[in-house]
Amino acid sequence: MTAKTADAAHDLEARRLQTLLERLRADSASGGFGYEQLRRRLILFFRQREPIDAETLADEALDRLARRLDEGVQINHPAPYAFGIAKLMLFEANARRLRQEARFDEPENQPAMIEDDDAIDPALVRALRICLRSMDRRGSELMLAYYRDDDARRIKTRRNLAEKLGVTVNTLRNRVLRLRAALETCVRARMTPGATEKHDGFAQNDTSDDD
Amino acid sequence: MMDSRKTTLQTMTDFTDQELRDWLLRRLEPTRAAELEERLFADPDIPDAIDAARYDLIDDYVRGRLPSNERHLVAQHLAATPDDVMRLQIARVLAESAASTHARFARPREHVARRRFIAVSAALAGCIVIAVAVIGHRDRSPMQTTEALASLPVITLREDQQRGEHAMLILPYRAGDVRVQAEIDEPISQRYELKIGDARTVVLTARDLSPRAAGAYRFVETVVPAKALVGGERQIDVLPQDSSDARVIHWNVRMSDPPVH
Repeated sequence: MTAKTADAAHDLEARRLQTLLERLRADSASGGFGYEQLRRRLILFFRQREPIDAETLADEALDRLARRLDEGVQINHPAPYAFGIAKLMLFEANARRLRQEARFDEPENQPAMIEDDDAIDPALVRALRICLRSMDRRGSELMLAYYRDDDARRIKTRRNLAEKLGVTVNTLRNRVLRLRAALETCVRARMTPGATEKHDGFAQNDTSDDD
Repeated sequence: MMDSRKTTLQTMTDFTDQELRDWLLRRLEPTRAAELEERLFADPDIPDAIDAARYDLIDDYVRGRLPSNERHLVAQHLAATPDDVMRLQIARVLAESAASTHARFARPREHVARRRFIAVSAALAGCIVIAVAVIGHRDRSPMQTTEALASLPVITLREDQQRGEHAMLILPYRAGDVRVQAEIDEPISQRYELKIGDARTVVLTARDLSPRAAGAYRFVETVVPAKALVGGERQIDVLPQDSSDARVIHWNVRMSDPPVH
């Protein structure tokens, strides 16, 4: 591929992405889903079948959606359309797998179950401590209280917490989800080699839905 | 009685928490799973409901609250990627933190009469106030406990060590706080209490302990001041809080005297 062709391909990709973003922004304003919201849904969907490649597949689905829009296909509701693309992609992946199995007469390797080691990495404990410390104190206390109880008491505890805060149980749930996701983001960032020195604080999770 | 799980979130998503958990564990009935997936791309609330169900499932897993078939499914489906494993490990550290923070050290009080080592009169027992529990009764912030927990000495009490009428565990001398991990047996209850006492009184009670797991080993853990274990023979009892006729697991222990300098 020459440099000129590569530039043209890049321009085309950028234009498609721009079209997709604009379309989803407009859709989001009228009650649909924005780009990140749609991507999150695609990841959740693919995660059930292809956990290792869920993010890549979600990006591929969005890429296909962008191409359809760029080709001028009339798409009234992008989210269900993306869902259709995602189902088709799974169908294609299954067909590929079947062909491969037939060719080699053996099943393709399934993703191995990763051993969940009971031992806790001291570095993880340190990272969590730093991240909890950098969290708003009320936030960390709220999170620990929310996740404290087991199944039998969970609902009652959460209702009481929501009542105390004067919010609905769903609002409380969403608030705590954001806190936990942000805590995980912070811990992951600190556990990334070389990132420790740079990342002192508590990252805000800006990729979640606002719903 | 109505299953409380079935009521939550139903008004928002029309899917119960149990169905969301089943979907995550790949065991939701296919038609219902297809409906859920379709709703995923239409209902603004579904992703949060799924994420919330996933965290609850993971928390139940790391705290040893799931039956073995569900444990296997969680290990199979919610620990499939390095990202998932990291999430599980974070959940485990959070659980440690929450459990330690939540363990309340009660003031000393009398044992119930049915315990065999409380044969002396309640009046006498009531007169003996032990300061150990008060020493152990102090607030611990999540940060303090998480930080300190890993460095504390661990006393592990296995069930097979308690057999025999005169079984006595000799523990090496410790100062400061120690983590006591006591094995529990099936069926696993939701909450346990751990009591440390001598022949007459209970000197320390830790309540609301959640069962935890390390491989096939099921146990409860709490942090206690080592002082609660020194000064002669001690009895450690672990019993479910939610069942009055459950078996009490009992250990006789003696901590060695402090070294002479």
